[in-house]
Amino acid sequence: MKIWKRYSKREVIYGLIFASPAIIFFGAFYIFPIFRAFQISFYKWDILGTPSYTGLGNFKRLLTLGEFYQSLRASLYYAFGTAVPIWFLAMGFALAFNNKFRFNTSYLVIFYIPVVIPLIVWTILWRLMYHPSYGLLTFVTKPLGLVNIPWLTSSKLAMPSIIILSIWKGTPAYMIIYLAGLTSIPKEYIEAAQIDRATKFQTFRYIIVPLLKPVILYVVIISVIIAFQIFDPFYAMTAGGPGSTTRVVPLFVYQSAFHHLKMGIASAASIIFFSMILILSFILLKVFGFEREE
Amino acid sequence: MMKRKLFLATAMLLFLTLSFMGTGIGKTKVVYWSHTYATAVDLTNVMIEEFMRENPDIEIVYDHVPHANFEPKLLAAFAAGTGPDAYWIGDWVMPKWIPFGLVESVDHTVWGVKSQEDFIRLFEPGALTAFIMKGKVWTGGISEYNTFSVFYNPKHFREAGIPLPSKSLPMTWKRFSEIAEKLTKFDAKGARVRSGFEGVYGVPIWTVLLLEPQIRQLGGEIVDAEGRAKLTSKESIEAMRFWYELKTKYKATDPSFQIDLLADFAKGRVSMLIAGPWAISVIRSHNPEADMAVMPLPVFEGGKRVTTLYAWAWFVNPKSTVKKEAWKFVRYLSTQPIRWWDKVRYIQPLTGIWPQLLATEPLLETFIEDFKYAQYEFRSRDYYEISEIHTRAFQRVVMENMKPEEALKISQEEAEKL
Repeated sequence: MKIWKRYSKREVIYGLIFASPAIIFFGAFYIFPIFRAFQISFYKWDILGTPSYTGLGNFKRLLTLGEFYQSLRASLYYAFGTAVPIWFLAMGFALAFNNKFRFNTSYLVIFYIPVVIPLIVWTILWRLMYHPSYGLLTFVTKPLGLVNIPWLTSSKLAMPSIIILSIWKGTPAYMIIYLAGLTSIPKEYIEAAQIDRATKFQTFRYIIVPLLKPVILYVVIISVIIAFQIFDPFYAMTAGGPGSTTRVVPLFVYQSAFHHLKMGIASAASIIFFSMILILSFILLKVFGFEREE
Repeated sequence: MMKRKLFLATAMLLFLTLSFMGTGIGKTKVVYWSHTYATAVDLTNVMIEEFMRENPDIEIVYDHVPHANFEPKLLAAFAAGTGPDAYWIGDWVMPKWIPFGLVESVDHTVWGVKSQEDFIRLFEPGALTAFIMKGKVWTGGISEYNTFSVFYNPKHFREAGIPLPSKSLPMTWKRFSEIAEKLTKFDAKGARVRSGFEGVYGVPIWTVLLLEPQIRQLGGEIVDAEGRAKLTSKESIEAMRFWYELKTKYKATDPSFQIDLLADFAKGRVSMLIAGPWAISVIRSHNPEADMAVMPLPVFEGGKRVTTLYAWAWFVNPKSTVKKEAWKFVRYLSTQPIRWWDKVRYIQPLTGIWPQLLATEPLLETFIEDFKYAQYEFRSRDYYEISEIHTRAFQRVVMENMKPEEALKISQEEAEKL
């Protein structure tokens, strides 16, 4: 009702008309598939035949399936293994780039390049870099006496290898967000802290962090949510292997749906995963605190 | 106002006319899909041009999809009711696709024969076995007929002082391992620079093609009569133990060493690999001077000689509204085996074909020998799930050095939940 008081009816209608393409697109490609997946999760359906209602059958089956738990573990390992380092690295780089130094802008541009490279291309590049005999990394590992490192074929190294390429790609993107936040902090606050002889750490801890709280919260939650959704490197680099150590939930869902033709199981797995991410997001919101300013 | 309406109407008419000019209005449109394989796509495009010249009332609309995405895209298209009129697909999907009604039984009259039995006689004995179900033949012909033999680099053998193998008599897997060990090389710092053997260790169909003949050589099967996995049989464990020892004892293979298996072989980084006749042209495309020869698939000592068999074949969509024309096009594609062999190195097992193919490619000699002992892959509606589960065991063994019994036990437990 407040909208009608601030804008005329005609303005509201025009606003809706102009927003309608986005609303239709969002509705058709986001909202509708979510509801459809929720619906399909209660059915046994092989995409070609007629769906048959199973109630909670798919959920019960998943909750007793060791492979699904393995996928959940892999997803949690990857998401927090990638996101947590990014939180700190992105902040560190943002603080560094917030200072003036020679060729600051050029370094920033070079540092940002991984962000603009499509993930699948980035994945293929790293796959070549990880080759134990001919990969670029051997320039570093061979002089150290480390040879034949099975980056992608060892159950201990495969996930960390994917995490490394993800951190390298993701850090600059979040660094820019932190940098935008840092540049918006009034210089007077920093100068006042310097006058009071605060150390750099004290300035960071008591001035910068509180003022950056909304930005930090955004980075924390978004980085985790995006990390849970990543598919490309697991599909193109390891196909979920070795064994099923890198078979994250998005890959599990894809294989269940399009290899095994079990749309019900795939949809149920998506719903469980979505719920898990939602709960984790609320936990993160609580942990990092968020007070809405009215 | 009148002028404006006239202008709009004229523009609309012109637009519609120009739009329809390229669409072959009045022609019967046949949509054909295949997976992407460069030489096959090239030849298909040439054949389509020829077919359309000979059949001016038919327009072929061709699309090809990367191999890894081909089946999911086909299934998604069928589910949406927009699947192609004709396509090719592998034999392993037959147990699922035939009951699903995704393939049409062959219209043998298009081939000018009187009965289905006459149609079967157009092909080598046993070739169509995988495509016969419920007493009907469901394919219009095999596009690619394969068994696996061993490609090896004779130069590496000579350098290592290893006698060149027989073209017709298989060696044992033990001897194979010993040779692979001898051919493997490391540099001064211990980094692998050449593998005696490499295989494809992460793709489910390859797991079946590599392991199943070994299991059968020992008298076993991957699945029981009901199509359920029996991965912990003694034959299965014994077959897996070969790969375990190849990696851990002989150090002749390392899954992390490969960049591109066929390119690695072509450029001398790998001395032996197991693949089908189609690999000949791919290896030569990487290196026209590649030194290669073929030996029969090895056999376990005391085991019977069994090799693998798989095929891609042409099909027509039962929901197609242009089935006659689609079958006509399939017949055109499937009755030119020499061209498929010359350009793509695809074998189409029409009766009496072998001497003609052998005349142009001596390497085929060993494959023809191995074909005599070839058996189609296991039949199961859970083919994909079982082969993926088996692949995870395979990876645990060759990548993580897990003991075969343990790796297969984990996989069998997964398979029992299907």
